[in-house]
Amino acid sequence: MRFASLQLNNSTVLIPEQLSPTQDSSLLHPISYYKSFPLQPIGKSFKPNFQLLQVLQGKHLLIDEIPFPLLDLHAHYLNGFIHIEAGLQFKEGELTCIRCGSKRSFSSFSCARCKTKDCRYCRNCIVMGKVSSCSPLYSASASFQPKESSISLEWTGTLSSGQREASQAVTRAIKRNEDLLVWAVCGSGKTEVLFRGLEEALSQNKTICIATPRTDVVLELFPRFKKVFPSIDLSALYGGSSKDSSRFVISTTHQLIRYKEFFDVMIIDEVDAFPYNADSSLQYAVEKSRKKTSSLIYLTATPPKSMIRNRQNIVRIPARFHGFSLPIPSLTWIGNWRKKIEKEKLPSILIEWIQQQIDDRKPVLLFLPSIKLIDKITPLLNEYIQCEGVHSEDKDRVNKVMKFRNNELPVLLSSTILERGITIPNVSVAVIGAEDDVFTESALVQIAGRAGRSKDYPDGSVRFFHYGKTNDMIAAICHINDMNREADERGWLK
Amino acid sequence: MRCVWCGEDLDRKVSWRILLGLAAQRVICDTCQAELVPITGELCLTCGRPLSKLKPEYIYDHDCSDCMKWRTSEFGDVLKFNRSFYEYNDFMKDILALYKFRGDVEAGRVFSAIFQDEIKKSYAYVDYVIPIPSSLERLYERGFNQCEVWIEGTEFHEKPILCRVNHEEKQSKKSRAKRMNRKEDMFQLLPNVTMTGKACLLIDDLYTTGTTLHYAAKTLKHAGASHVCSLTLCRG
Repeated sequence: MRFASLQLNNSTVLIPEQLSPTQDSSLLHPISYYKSFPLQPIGKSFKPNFQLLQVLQGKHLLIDEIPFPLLDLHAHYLNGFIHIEAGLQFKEGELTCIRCGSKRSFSSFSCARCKTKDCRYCRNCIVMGKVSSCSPLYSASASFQPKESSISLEWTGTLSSGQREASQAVTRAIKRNEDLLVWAVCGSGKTEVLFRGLEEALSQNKTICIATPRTDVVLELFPRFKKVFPSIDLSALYGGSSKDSSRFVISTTHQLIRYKEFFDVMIIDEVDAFPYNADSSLQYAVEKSRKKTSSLIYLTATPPKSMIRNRQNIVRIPARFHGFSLPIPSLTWIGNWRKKIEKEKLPSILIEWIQQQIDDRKPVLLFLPSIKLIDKITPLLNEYIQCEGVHSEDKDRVNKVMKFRNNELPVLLSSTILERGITIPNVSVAVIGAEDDVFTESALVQIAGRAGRSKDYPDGSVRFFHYGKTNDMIAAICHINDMNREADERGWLK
Repeated sequence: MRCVWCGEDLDRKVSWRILLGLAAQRVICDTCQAELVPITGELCLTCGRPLSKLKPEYIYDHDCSDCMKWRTSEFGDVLKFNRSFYEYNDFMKDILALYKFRGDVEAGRVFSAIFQDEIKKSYAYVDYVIPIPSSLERLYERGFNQCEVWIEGTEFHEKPILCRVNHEEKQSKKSRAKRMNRKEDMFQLLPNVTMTGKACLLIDDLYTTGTTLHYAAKTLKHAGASHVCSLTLCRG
């Protein structure tokens, strides 16, 4: 879009081309031509449209995402209720997408909207709508708070000692708008740790976001929170979900690029999971979407070292909810297994181990370093026992995992996609090729954390089959041992 | 370098051919390239669809039954022939959606090379290369014309020749039957364009029924064009 700049009552206002009294092309420029975007003074006699403000409150939206006429938007802007700014701006000398924070991945095109030959646009966030040199971003500057109905936490469960301590830390961080890392071992019940703190936040009418890198996790968490906070307007945001304006959202980190300074409480689940750990624009989105004064809470079983360093506020839950210790992985050398597989053979120790689990009536979850290997090994193993492979590009993934869960499939082969969040009672877990680079300390800890989660079968078997021990394998075992020791010292183990 | 479509790393194979300018640096990866299905084998000589995909009863000599229908309609043979590069498969649908609906011009520009090479190789004789124009509303909504991008920056890219006819007001005054029959033109020639005796090549993204291209060809022929053919990215 092109805008004209006019002096009105001693302040500079931007007027969209469609509403501009001047149509002189030399006075109309793409919005990125302008360098500052001051907020207009509040028009005291202006009656704002609250529906419009609700759509734009705390958001950072493109014109095509706003279901109101341009004339209405402009009136709210002139009266200081809406802020507009260029979607692409120079920050520290570099062209920056203000919505997603990307400083690379720009392309340009000859644009019919702003009539320039080299209108730039951001390719990084294009699946969420196109931010170009001539795209204004709209947000409501005035905040208003609708009254929520009464808040009640409908949960009657009890917390373990470790959970109770963490729950108090979460509540404190939310009250004081502080940062906190909740380092909770796999199976400690970290979701329940949030309930009391969120009840507190809701009673203070705070805005809340639980963000996670993965859509699967959003879909899993949503019904759990809906159940314990039935009277709250809660929404799930992920690619393909509808847009909304709730004050409590469970969202993928991607969707947060449409927010700006909105949340009082930001909780990031699985903070070290892909792609959040690898994509700086997602980290930018999280920072942009929360208020300057707000609480930031990270949840994970495997925080990266950089996160532990320089952090004052950490609370650890070293014990599982059921009070049994974490299963310790054992290591088994299987020689040059890749070469064997090339020759269409499987290591016999591996076959024997799998057979043993089957004889003990345990489902077997096998992790492999790559999709190629899954495709290669699945038919080989199928000669011994019924099995299927799943990975990120598998369209039938949900179905296969379901079959495995229902005990209709004895063995499931997986890439690291299932390293988090899957709970199968009595499962035995193994990694084939644990020496591979993809199996970092945190991946191995997460994988080991799949075993022994149910209180009926607390001691699951975890085996790392390898062709040479790595530091990551040893670090993972130390990590798990340390957690068990700490839990024991605190008297939290059975 | 990363693949323009999927973002995968491209191997940095810089060959002598690339350095000498004989081959272009790759912009898409092998996996994406393999998803594109070029149209090959025996074609309908008129619309350029692969005859192997048709049942024998729909083939008349070297033409398909759809083209026979166009031939016997009032359009006759305004469009001499059409050729298309690729089959319209699910992968192509996704790429075109990214290009046209998301507006990722860089994703669509990947096809510029194939269009420009083919125009130089097989259509050197034409006077005008004409991308099918978008309506003004569509052009503003998308910010660009997806067919024009493919010839931007070349000597074939000239001032606009055709535009869409705006039927908005007229439509409402017409009866349903009349609207359905759609006898009016979809396109009109812009003022000050000489068409008499000119050979034209129309560029579009997709040939499905061929309606759009036949309407455009009709307008050009009525304005005096000697020859009109078309080249599209896909044959649906």
